[in-house]
Amino acid sequence: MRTIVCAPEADDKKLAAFAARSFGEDAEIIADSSFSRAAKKKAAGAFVYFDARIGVERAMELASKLEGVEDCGWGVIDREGSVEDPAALFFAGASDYVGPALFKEGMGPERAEEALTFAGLASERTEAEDSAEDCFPGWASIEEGKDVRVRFCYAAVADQKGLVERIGDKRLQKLKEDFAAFLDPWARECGGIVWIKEHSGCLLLFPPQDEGMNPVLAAFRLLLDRALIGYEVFKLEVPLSFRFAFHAGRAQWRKPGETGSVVSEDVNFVFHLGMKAAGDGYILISGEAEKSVPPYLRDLFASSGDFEGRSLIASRKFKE
Amino acid sequence: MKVKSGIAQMLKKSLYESLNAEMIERVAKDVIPGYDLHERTGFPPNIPLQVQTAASRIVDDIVVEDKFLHFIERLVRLDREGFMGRPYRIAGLREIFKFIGAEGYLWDEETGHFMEDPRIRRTQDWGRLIPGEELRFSLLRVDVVKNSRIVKVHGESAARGAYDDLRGILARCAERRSGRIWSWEGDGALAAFLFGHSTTSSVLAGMALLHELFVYNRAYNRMGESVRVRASVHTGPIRYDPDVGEILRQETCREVVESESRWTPPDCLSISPAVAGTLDRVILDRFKPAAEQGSRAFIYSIGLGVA
Repeated sequence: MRTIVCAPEADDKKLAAFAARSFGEDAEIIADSSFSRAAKKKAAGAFVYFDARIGVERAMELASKLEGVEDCGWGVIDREGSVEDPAALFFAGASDYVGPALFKEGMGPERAEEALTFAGLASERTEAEDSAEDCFPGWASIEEGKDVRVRFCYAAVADQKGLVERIGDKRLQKLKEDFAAFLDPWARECGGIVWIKEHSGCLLLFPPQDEGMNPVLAAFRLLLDRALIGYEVFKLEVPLSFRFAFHAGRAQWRKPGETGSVVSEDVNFVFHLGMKAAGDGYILISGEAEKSVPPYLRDLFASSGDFEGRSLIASRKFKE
Repeated sequence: MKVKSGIAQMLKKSLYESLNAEMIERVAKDVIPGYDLHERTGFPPNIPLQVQTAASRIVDDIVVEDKFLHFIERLVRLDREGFMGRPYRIAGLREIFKFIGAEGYLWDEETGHFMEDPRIRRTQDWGRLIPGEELRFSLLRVDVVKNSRIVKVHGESAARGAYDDLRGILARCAERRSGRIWSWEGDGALAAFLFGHSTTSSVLAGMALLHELFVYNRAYNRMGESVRVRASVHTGPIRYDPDVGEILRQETCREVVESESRWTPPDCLSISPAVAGTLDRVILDRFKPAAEQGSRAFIYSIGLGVA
């Protein structure tokens, strides 16, 4: 989970050192004036610490803006011990209080995890998930036939019927082959592989946790760049777009090209999802894969009903 | 490009083994307009020149006038396409290519030009422009919206960090399409495109910039406020000058700045009618006529519909 520290000044060196020591280099320090303008957007999927130097009232005012924000908690950093009644913060919904001593020492990962647990944000994992996630061995090392937990992505060229009329069957076949070849390095950038190539589209696998670029972000970028990719990569003189469907589940591992005997409910489902439910120019994601959407893209997705008993979310579509 | 004597000798040999004196002079005229071999050598016009003499003199002249790469490019075209329906094979081209490659230049098949190898260096003149040379460039102008307010609100250091990121994004978008950043002031930039389909490349770079910035603002921007730009593309003649200040004073540059500031809304890319006329339909269809009265520009923006 991301950590944001909201302070009077974004370039407070002591605070930056504390944040780096406690939450890692990814912690963001934001001036309260900036945070105030986009509190909901910035705080989604983040734990926000308010520096007590902005004043307790100001901290409470900003914290009130976080009500209803998904996957978000807050706390206060009080390096000078200026907060008279820290308990009042907890009554107002805070999940952590960092006093002067802890500020001096810095917080360890356990303490940060405790704050998340108190906020109800610690991710609940099953034992099986933990073992699969913690030690994803890499595609080359997975034993043949082993049941593995993965994220699936069905990717296809959009509007294939329309394209047949515009560029002809032969060129469409070539385009689909080129698209499958194009997906290969694209998937590798996200730690994934092109697993099954079908007539209509490809099934890609990604590790259960991000290894490289987030695959939903990568798919989102392809949709943004669709005009450039159609023109510059595939040399098309007609508009091109894509469709994507994501799901998370289990599959019996077989090497690409040797997947004829794969039997898996999740593989079956993602093919159905991609071919029957997904549409052109947006990303459809099953409830099981919802966690793959990075917090900074979350507001671009909305609930999209059910399919075969599973809930779905869909991304907004770019206007043509 | 500095031409070593070995490669100059190799070219002389290649010329006199492949072409007659008249043909060598004709190629030279394409590269140095008005080139007159007899005038340069001092021989009367009625005296035919030996092919070795012609080759030697012309190679020396193109080296002095810094047109070596231009001359080789013309020879490649002659080798591939012939002239007036007649084929010409130029001996030793492969070896000449190797020599040029060793000097840090790559052959670009698409444009039929040598350009500096970007892995070795990226200069604002692509390693081959000559001061005073007037060429048709395509320009991409980028301006940061409300720059002064951003610096005031977020502080100089945070703003500088975000602008450095913006510069990196622009460089990626432009340089992968053979463009070069000519000027980068605190809040705005100018990128130039010359080779290949330069107008299309500059428009695609501008579109890619808006896309990259969209992702950057959501995923990587730590300033607490989106970096927003106005971008504009225009094409026209520019007299190349190593002093960018001189270039910026020329009319084509002034026009692209005006187009950006007058006709372009924030988060948009505008293109002038001169640029629009060169684009393929599939790209032009992404643009809409500008809403402002009196403008003939076309505008591109990222539009999001409902989920």
